[in-house]
Amino acid sequence: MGSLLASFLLVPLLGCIFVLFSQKHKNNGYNVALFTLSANILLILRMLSLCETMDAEFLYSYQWLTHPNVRFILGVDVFSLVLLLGVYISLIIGLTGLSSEQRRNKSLQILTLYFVWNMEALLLAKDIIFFYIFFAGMLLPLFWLICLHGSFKKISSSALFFLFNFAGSLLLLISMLVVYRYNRGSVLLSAVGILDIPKHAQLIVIGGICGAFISRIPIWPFHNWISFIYSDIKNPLIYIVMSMMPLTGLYGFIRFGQIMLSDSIYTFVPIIETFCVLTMLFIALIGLSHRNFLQKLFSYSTIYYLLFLMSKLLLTDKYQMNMAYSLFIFLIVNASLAVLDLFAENAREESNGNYRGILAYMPRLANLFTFFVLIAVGLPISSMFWNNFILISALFRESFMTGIWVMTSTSLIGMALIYELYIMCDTRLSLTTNDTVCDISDANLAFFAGVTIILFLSFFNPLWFVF
Amino acid sequence: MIEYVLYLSPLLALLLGIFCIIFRSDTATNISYSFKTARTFLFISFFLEIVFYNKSLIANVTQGSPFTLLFESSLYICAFIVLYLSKKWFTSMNVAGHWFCSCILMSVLYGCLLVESYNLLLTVLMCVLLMFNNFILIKLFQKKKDSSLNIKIYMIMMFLSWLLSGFSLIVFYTYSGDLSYSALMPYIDVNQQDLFIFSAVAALVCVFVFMFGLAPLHFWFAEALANTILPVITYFLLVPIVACFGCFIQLNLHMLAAYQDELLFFYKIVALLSVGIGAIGACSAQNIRKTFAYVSVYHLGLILLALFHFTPKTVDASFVYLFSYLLAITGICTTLFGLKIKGEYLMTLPELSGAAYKKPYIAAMMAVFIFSLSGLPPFLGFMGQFSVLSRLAAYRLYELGFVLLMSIILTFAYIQIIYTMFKDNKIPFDRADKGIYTAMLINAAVMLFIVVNPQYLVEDFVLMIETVFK
Repeated sequence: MGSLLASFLLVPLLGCIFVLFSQKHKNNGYNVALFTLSANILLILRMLSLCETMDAEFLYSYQWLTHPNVRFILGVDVFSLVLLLGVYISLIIGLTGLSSEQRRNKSLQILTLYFVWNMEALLLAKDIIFFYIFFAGMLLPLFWLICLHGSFKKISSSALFFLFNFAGSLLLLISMLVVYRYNRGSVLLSAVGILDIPKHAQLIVIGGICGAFISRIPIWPFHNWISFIYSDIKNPLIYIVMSMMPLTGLYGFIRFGQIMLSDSIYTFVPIIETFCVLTMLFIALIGLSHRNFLQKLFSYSTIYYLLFLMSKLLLTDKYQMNMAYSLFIFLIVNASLAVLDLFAENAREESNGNYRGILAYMPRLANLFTFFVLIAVGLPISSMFWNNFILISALFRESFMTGIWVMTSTSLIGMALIYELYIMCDTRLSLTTNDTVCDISDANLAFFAGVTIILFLSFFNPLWFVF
Repeated sequence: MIEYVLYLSPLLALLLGIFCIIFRSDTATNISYSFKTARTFLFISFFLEIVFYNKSLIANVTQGSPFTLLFESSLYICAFIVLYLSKKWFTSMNVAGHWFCSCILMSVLYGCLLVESYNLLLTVLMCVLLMFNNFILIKLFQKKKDSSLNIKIYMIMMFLSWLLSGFSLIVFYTYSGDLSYSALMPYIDVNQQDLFIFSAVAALVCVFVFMFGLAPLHFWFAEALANTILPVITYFLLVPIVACFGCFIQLNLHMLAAYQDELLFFYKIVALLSVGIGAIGACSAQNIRKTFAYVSVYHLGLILLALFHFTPKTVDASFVYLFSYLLAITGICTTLFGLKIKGEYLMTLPELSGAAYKKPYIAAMMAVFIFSLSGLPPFLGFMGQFSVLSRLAAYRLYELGFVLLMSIILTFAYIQIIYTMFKDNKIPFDRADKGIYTAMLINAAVMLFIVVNPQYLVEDFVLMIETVFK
């Protein structure tokens, strides 16, 4: 299993090297990226099949330094594998949405694979130093992706984005250094909250950790940088990569699970909860007012990330796998909707028509779009329904008022998505000339039909393809 | 007799190199001759230095050890890099390089003696000569004609430093009679309360603060570097720093140990000031060279902060940081050598506009080196940052907080540079020399190798460093 983990970690790096040396102005780089992601999906499925129980965990360690004793400890369990699978599938979805010009862009493929490598290592990291390295390290590919493949307006905002996140990662660095001060060498993530350290140091550690992870989640009043970056993104892959940033913060909260057992966390939880609820309502209302599907999707993803965050903070570990299944579907749906919206947008630009009613002339896309929107709003056609139902009802049990606000926010954003779908499908609002709009290709239809099958069957068993 | 000649052979090789360059200055138009000669003699001297690293002519004047070998090797490598990169500049500008090459060899000679020095007279003498050597470089290679004020400022500061070091020397000689570190240390220990002794120690420390370009004596450093040519900047950011750092550690451990408490407070103030001024100065500078001069002030401040108490662990940590800094700053200088517009090397920040589109590989490498300087993982800079900040986290959380705050400000300066590279610019950059790409790749490969195998830096080099405590 150790060698499987090590090779799993090496595949994206090898992919980067192959893309780097691939021919210019051809699709070779794109094909390598696609192959790399697919190869790692197979490895994930293999690892999942080796997990006999949900609690199964595989560890692999690498001695980086002897003095001080720093070991990189990699570990994988069903929870992280499910998340990794979600990340990989959503990135493949993103790759299918690239235009022919974007497919020939080597830097885009290299940076995406480098980001995936960071993400993968972060999800596998079991010790705090390794976790920090990849938590901070993933800022670099993101920054480059925005700088190289965004408009110039984006570059100034990406500078702010980088600084903000860099400051956030420094908070984690402080925590790491304080932990290192009391425990020379590697410390497991799960052990950070229960270390025998003085009270004030514990407060610094937990404050730093909470601050670092919150910096990744667009919580009010720090949501502006990320919403600005999201606006007008034309590249679906970058949108999908960007939308994984909050996942790193959320994952951090989940992996540093033991900090929830320490007394110091009670200083921070009510504050985070209040800000989460406020942000959810605020973003839901903003989502309603937007006239752009991608903006609405951003609001939707933010609200759901906050829902998962509150579930982590307020509920016990009993619900962890529900979160994993829900996140798995959420990542795929989010990515699919971003790509499908881009197809609609491209069709509109080509036909020189109107955004309103565009789907009325694209029946294939309309069907897919409707299916994914209905999953997103929580209808019982995927496992997201069951798992969100369990999470929200547990939140109601924990705090009735919080449950009400969460329910209100998710309903509002669901309404916003359905309303947007209605606008895009309504022929009465259309000004498009129907003879010039071309629907999505057969290949894309087949691909997304495959994705819908995965999602639909997950309604009966979330991991039907493995267990 | 032959024994003495052999022990002195590294220095003799350097002197011979200088002699060959200067006395064949009729071939000055043949630029490659000067650089080839300088590099050849540097290499010979380096080889001899390795062979005779632990031999010294007079035991109480110089002492060789693995510690000195490590610093001398760094010095030789830095000088070699400076010569390699500078040749491109001199060839491209068609300027005779014999003076430059001689000064570099001279500074290596002074630097080696400074690192090996075990006698205050030799230390002061080498400091004075190194400062004068630096002055010649600044004076000869000023870019702007109206920068005489900077030269005057440097000259005044240099004279003041000479006076201070002279004062220190006289006081110690008058009181002690023996200027070797081993004789001075017990003497200082016994006479700690003596005001003259304390003044002499303070004067000596001030000289080093000036030579490092640390705050509050940093102003010459930024101004001089802002108006000089790229080879001289590369030299200033690498060579004198290594030489002074090695000597500074020896001096504090073997001579000034008795004044540790008083000096630590002074070092802390200087270090924090340098970190603050370096970060803020880098943000406000519009001249790229000035920006990197301030960046250097910041990093040297951090190194000084890490040297707290001069214990083996703190010295190790500061060396790891210095090493990662040297690699990153070398990389940045290399990329600056690769960016030219109409035959002119870049001076100001706006001139970098469009580099990301016109010179994507150089721009990408520059960003990598800049991110390494900022301590972003997984680059080598992170190891340096981790080693220093873990020392600070052990005892001094307020200072850690201050340093991290300043690092955010400094990162803003770095981001400004990268942001400028992405601005649209129609002016094309000149074709870069292949040697620049090779140098960048080698630098990146070394960084990558050490990131994957850090035990060479953190364990093996550190074993050499710790010999200074024996």
